[in-house]
Amino acid sequence: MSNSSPATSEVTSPDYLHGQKGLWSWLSTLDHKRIGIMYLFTTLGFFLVGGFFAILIRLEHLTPGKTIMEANLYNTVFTLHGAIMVFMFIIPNVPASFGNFLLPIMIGAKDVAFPRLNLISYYVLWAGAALAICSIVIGGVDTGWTFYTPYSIRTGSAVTLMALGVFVMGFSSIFTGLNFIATVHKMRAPGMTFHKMPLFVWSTYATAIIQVVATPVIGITVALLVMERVFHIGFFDPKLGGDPVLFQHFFWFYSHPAVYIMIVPGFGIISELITAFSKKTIFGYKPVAYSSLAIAFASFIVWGHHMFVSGQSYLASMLFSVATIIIGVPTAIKIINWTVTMYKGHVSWDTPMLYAMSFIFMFSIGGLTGLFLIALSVDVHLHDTYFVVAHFHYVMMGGTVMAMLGGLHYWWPKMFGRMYPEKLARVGAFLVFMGFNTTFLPQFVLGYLGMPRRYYNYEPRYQPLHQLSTLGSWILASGLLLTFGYLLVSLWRGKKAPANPWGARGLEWTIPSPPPVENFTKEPIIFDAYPYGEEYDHKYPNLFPASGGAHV
Amino acid sequence: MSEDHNHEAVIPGTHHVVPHHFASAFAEFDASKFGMWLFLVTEILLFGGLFCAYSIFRGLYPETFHEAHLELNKTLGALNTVVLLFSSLTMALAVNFAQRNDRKKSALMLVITLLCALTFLCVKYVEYSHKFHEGLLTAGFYKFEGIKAQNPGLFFSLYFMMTGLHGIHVLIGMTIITWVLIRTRKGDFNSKYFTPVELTGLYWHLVDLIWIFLFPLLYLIG
Amino acid sequence: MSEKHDHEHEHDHLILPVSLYVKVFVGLIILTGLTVLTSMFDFGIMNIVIAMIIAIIKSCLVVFFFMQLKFDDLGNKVTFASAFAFLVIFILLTSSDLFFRKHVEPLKIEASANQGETDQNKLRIATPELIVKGKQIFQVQCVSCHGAEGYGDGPAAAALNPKPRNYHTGQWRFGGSPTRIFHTLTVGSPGTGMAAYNNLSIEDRYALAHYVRTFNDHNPPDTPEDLKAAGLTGDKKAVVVEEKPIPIEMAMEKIEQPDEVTIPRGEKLMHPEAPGAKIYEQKCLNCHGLNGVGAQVALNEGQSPRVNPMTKGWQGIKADWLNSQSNFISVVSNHFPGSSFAGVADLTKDEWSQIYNYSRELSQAR
Repeated sequence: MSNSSPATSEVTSPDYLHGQKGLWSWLSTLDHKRIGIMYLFTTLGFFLVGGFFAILIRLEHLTPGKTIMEANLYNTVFTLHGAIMVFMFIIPNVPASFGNFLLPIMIGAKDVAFPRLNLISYYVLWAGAALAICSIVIGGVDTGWTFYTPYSIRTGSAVTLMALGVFVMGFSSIFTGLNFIATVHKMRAPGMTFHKMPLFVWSTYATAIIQVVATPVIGITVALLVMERVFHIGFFDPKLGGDPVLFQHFFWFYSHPAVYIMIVPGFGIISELITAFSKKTIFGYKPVAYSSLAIAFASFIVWGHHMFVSGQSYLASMLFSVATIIIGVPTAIKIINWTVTMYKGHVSWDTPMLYAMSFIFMFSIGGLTGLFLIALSVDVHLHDTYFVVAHFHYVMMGGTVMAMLGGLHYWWPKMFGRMYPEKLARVGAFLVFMGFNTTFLPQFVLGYLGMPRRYYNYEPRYQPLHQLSTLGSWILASGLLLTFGYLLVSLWRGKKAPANPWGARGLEWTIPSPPPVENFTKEPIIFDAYPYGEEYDHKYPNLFPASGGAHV
Repeated sequence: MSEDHNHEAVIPGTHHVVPHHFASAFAEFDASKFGMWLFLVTEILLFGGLFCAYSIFRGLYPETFHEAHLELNKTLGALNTVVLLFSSLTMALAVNFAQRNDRKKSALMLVITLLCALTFLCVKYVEYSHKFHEGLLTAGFYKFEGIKAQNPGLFFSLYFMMTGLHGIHVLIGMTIITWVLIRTRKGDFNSKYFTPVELTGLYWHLVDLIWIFLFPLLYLIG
Repeated sequence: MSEKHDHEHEHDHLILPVSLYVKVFVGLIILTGLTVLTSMFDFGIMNIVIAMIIAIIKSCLVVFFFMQLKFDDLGNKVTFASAFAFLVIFILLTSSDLFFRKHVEPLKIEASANQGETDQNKLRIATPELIVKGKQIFQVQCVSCHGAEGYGDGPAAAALNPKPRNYHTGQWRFGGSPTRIFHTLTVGSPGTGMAAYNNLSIEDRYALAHYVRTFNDHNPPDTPEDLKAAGLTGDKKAVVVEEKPIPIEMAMEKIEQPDEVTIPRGEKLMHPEAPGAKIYEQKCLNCHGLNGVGAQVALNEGQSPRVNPMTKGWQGIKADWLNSQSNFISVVSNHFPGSSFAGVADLTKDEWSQIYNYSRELSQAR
């Protein structure tokens, strides 16, 4: 069993998984940990659905012209892939699963500020998802996930239902963000100052700011789109005197900050992984912490870089191009500081660390290719090509999903009290890494050579690269399915996990795996963030016993 | 936080139990108020989109806006402004009386607030009926002949979207105020616990705030 | 922001005097009256400025006193103020686009409608001046699809199906004589990305026609049929019949109508027992139509067969690919440039012979 810290494995305090039994106890729970777990399984389920559509896209692209579906169906398939992945997986996943589970524990609190609002946010996600599913069942949407007008006004596909679904799901995001901001400000344990909070908390906090400020604007945007379709208000319809580019401003004012909702929590996870698996405190705590806030605020002034070729004025394009360059700086600070953190650290290569390394490699590629796109003249050639597709998949999947998988493996023992099988996990990580790069690296070349995105047909000269990309998608899918498979099986068959399998230093590792319902049975001892090193060994002698990692 | 888990922190004079994850009753009040201000931020941004659309279209079609707004009834608009401002006063007083433990006066103020809200909606109904009758509708359905400037339907689309979204918020506000009124009369609140009244007040003042801008922008284009 | 120490004390909630609220209300009413009053006078641009200033003052009264933000902690103040900061960014940057767009000036080339020579009989004869003018217009209007050298390989061609005309091949969809090219420029090429260029003057269109004919030496002159079709006979001054473009609403309706892929089936397959007929039915019928009438017939009947480009009828045609079996095999087994015909690859020697003979029969029918 576990040789973890004393006084954590008695049975007086039931853990949150087994404390209350029965389906209703889960459906009506106010426990942030249970809500986090429900979000985890729900959003990963949506990830598999979105991934299924991705496999269909790649199958279709095995040959130019028709392979397995007609052109109209193809339009619907890539739209649904995008809409499901964006609104039902990647935006809620890390904040609402990991954020919900970890945030209160990491600040020494018993729960989030508004537990009932937390549960409501989960059901609101389902309500919105239900509307989206209705839209899909009726025949889906074929506008692209961006719903650009005027086509989205005219098309007969189920835009209204999907737009309403997005509207409702937006409330879930708002409630989560609102809860987290209030939690960080008002619920920290005595002694837990802002500068002692783990970086995952900083990044979740920065994300929450974006969620609260930006999401209402997508709300009004999709609401107005529905009003356009039903009441012909004309704001975005050139036939009635409106401007389709105005729709794009409205849409991207949310959707650009949204991509930072997607990545910034991932940044937070990486900070946790690198410090834990280098057994070293983060290099430059304050720059990394404040860079999350800087990214959050700067994300609101760059949205027009999605609209360089839409007919935007030169003035606006120049302003947005310059502003976007600025946002690269705080991001680079993080990458540099993570790398320096590893220097002279005691690095171990468990699966979470493998994913963290994948993240650094692939997110850097994604971020650097973004630089090509913000240069106005280059963007004219690359806009709406596969170059953009590769860029955002590298940052969203090579970035966020890698970070998510790393965090999933890192905190899996804490959440479920079970270890995953390390050897199999490395195979999975390898397959995911190879599969992802095989899928998306060729797409940079495709885009550079002129292959447009969202096109059903293509010239035969693009076929070899498309086929390579499709092969990659199968490798990637097998890696992901393997990973989810052994994780699920480990819930029943995994080795029981100690309180601190990694020898990491954070509040969540001082409580049992899985944690008790109220998180802390005693008042938690508050220490500096990432207290690695001998001075902390002396200062907190019994708090971090040398139980070693799972692989020892 | 060293009490045992069975201790329930009930606020004296009420049935309200301070949830265990809060350190104290004040912590709950403080956090709840902060949460409400955060929510008001989202409302500002929600309406903000419409104000942005307004700025753009007014900048692009100034003559249209000037000519079209003449079809709005300034008197009714001004009346609604006064009614809503008065309802803000009574809502603030409702909170004030709850703070003073004066349950009867608090309830009375809530009732007057509700009546003001109802008046507001009735006046809006009169205005909307007139517009439907005249064909002063959204751009796609616009039928009125009397405006010479281009795209007058855009102005009325904005009018209906902005006052419509505002009207929905008035309705939601009325629902919440009714709920708070019922709880006030049941004796749920006193000077030590009146958080729901406070939060409702904040929401209602926001509704008033939006109208303070809508009125001159739609009705008083000089 | 450290935690407040309040375990035992009651926090005193600030209770403002009722009179303060009433005073604020009175102030609000006065300001409302003021804003109504000022709206009745014309101060030009200052009207909206004054109205907004008054509105901001009123809001401050509501926010600071009714919502008690004046007496509240800094956190709530910063939070609420930040909402307006973000809103201002939204409006400002959106305005930096919507109000700063340049109006596009019409291209300053010589082309504009209803100017210049309109006598088609004169224009259809090539002159050096017309060719130079055609080249000028071509480089502005046409190279993006047709390529700078007229090979049909312009940047936009990557996304077009069928590909734009390659002028070096000497192949034409509607005929390569000057009047025929003029006609194509006038009405466009249905089912392709070639639009109608009747916004260019008649002279400009003839200039273009003469220019694109220079890419290949063997382009045909106007035949008597061509002249008849153009309404030009002999030296009579041509009556120019210009078609107006269809209204946008109609174009949008037509776009939304689904394509129909039917080819007329009024008649039966010719010699259905012939071995070539089976092959024809399997491999050729869908695009070339019953008995080789071609998709053009369907187009003429108002249908929109999804074949790009239109296949012509075979009746009475004389073409190299029907002259010998080896020619036939070499043409038909490969991708036909400029079309979506990918080539037929999987026939046996006997089958090639059968389909060749059948196709010849169709072309000699009637």
